[in-house]
Amino acid sequence: MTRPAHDLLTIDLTSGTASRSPLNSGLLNFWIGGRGLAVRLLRDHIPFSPDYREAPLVLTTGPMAGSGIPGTDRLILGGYSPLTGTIFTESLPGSMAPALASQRLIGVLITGTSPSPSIVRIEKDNVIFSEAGKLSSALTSTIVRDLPSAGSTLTIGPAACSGSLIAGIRIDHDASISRGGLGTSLAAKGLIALQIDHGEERFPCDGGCDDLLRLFRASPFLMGPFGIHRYGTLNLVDLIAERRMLPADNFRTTWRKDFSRFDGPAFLGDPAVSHRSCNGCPVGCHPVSSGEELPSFESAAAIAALLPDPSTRDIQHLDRLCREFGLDPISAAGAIGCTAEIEGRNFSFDTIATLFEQMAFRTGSGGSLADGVTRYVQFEKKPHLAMAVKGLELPPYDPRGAHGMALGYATSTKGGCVSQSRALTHEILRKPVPTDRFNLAGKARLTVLTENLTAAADTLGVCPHLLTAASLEEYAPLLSNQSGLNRTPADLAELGETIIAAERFCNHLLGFRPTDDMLPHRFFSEAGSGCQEFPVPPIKMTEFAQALEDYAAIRRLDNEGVPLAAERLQDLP
Amino acid sequence: MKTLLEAFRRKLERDRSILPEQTTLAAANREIELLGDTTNAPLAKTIMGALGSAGLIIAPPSLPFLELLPQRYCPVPATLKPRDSETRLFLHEIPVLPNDAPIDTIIGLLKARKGVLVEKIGIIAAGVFTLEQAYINFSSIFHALFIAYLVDLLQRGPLLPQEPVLFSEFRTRWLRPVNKSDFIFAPSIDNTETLRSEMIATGRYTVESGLVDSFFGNISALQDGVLHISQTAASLDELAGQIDPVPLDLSSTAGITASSELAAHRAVVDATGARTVLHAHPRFSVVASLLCERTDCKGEDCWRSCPHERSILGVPVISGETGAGGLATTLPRAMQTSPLALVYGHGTFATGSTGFSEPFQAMAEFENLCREHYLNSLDERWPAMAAGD
Repeated sequence: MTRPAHDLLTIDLTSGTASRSPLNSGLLNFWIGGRGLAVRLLRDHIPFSPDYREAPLVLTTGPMAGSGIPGTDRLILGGYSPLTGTIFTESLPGSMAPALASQRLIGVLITGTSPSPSIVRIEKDNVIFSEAGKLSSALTSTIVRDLPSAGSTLTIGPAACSGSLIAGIRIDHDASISRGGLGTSLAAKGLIALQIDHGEERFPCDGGCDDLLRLFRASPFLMGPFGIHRYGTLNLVDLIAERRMLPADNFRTTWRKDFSRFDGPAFLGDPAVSHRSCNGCPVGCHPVSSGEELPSFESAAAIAALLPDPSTRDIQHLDRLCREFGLDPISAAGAIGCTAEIEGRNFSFDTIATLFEQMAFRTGSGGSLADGVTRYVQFEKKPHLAMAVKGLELPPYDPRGAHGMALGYATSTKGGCVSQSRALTHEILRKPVPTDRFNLAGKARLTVLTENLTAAADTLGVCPHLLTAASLEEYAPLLSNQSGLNRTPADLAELGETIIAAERFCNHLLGFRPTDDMLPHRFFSEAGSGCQEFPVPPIKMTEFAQALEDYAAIRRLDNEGVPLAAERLQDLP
Repeated sequence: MKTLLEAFRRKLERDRSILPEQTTLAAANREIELLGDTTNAPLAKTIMGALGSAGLIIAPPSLPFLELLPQRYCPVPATLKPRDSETRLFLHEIPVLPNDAPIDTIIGLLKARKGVLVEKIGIIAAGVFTLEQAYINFSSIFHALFIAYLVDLLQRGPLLPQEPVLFSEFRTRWLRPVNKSDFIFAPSIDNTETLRSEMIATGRYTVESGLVDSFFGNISALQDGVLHISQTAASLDELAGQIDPVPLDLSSTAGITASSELAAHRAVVDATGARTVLHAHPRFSVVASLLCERTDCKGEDCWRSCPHERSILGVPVISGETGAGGLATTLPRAMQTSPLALVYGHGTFATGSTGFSEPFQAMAEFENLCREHYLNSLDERWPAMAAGD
């Protein structure tokens, strides 16, 4: 069986040309799509100079994109992060993956540099290059609104155009901004927006999703009374607060008594809230109020951490600024939180709004924060105050409250990311089984296994939220039916392991070493905000170091952090 | 790791689902550690190495007739799809292999499914992330096979020469009435502290009396507008620290970690005014729910929607799956007229107005009645089973 979407479109921005060709079937059958394919393509272009303009960007889809199989329409955005210096992939929701599939494309490789800011539109049998004109440096929603044609649109904003290393990309009017500064990479290449026409082709699956749907309906996190189908990920605010993991004051505290002012029920006070779903997904985890998608938990909590007197209105406004500027709210908030600690003060809502704007346009005092917290603290000579791993600012889940998550932060190939290890799922959400969040025993192997599975799921383009209920056991037969690729869940996990090995190998070539798998010192020396029922002590460094050692042994890393599995990478398609 | 292995072996022994001297447990962190029967140690290590999993259990089920199931359906290799809810939601199917199946075949199936049944070896259940998962998968498979065998036995009678003797041993040595009298309940639960300690005690009683394996089942109690409910994936016999207070006014979403049956519990207390709700998977009750006598039914999905009104021994039998749009819709209606309800392929829900004594006693009594009813029906329909020959 030939998979319907199997072509790679290569865009050369230097010459303003595009070429389309089917991917080598051996390569596609091995790396499948999504993150696997992205990493494989990027491996051929490791940027040995610090100028990230030379490195390509890739957009890839999973092999079931556009089929209507719930949760298989994630887009993978991949590149070399100017913020972290690592290889970097992001799994993004929205309409772009099915749009690519409708054009029979499994990926787009963006190379070269446009001589002037440009816009690229992909249609059936045609790729159109045009000048961005007044849309360069426009707000992201303005770009989407003012493009002459319709389609799924990926944009950057003023933050990327000013070269901020924490600038991301936005798809259509979605809430999320990608992390890792890949928006800046796109701006450096002179691409302001990429639009994909929704083609006529459809490749619907012929059923077989009952097992999946049953699990979604039974999942408290997805479709229970407090599920994301109602609250979006804002349903996490109360739980993370009660677990004493909700950071503020640059992670000096992990609880605040007014958290209910910005929890799910607070945001959903508006009875006119509706919900948007990704293609084919029954969950619908994007709550929309007054025509605007509500913030995610991570954005809302990161912003709330800056506000002495948070309100949903203020948080929404600040989140909106980040979306419009194309600024990663987690990184932006992390940088401001650090500044607040260094300066010994809290900022008002107005000041924070001003700082966000200054970060986006590199002006005023906010301009010094535009490249993220790690570079800022080096300038301030206070590196210990950067709450980041490998240069990526930590999202608002305090690691002292979930030690497996702490380990995952350290080992993540892209830096301070909570989604690669998925420790939140078992340590906090208790799925598929609960684990002791204050104990590192067994967490090394668990981290390796879950990282592999996440890499595999990202390769299939599967939504990480749905993996709190379903697993590769349910998706593997659907993969076979839709694409002809017969893979067991264990086969896919093995592929995940290879993907992680490839990422670690790339990072090694880029200068990363085992010592980079570490958390900021604060988490080993300062307690979190415990309560009468339980304390939140610092993580024990000796135990953490042992867990890292176990992780390296299980992942078969040598003393330099190179996976043994990397030896065979050259022999793979 | 050894402590963990021993803890789960104790659980399996308490569940009476294994023959301890023939059971092998394996768990891995940096290395693989084993406990139990060394005969299967090489097999365990090979499987763990191939799967990269964190836990594995290899054990013949304590009830030997369970291994006869494949022979009753067709020659092995085969795939069983028992009709209980644990199979339907989690296991999906149980592959079955002959004793001489190549190890690669066993590994290949374990790469795709949570466990397999291999003749003369037993149930091999893997846990991708933890040893606890292997325990849960083993228990679910044991439960599913138990249910499937009893249903099929009543419907088609003994098909193999050794079945009457094996079943007779099961009756006389393994089977026992649910103990409902040795447990002490508080006369009322009028404060949160008492309420929670009663939940913890009742959860333990429910597991100890065999009404449910520890991973399944759930329990709740209402106090001052807050529904205290066991957390999802909580062990019902170890509920301390695993109870969520869920305000019924939806003012907090911390209840994401509450039982996946939260919606059903809430709907039942709303509709009936009950203060306590207990849910378990008693096996003879589940078997009874699956033995529908209708032959002219046009219903296509008995788990989700039954077009008829059914009852067994005066207890309503209803359809409805776990979660959104399922039990929370069908259960409250049934429980408005009965403090006990049986869910097709799933288990029983029981309510109480003052404490947990009522629902526990009702559930235990009903399970005993279902057991008696089953055995009487079996003896009547298939006299060879009564005689044990």
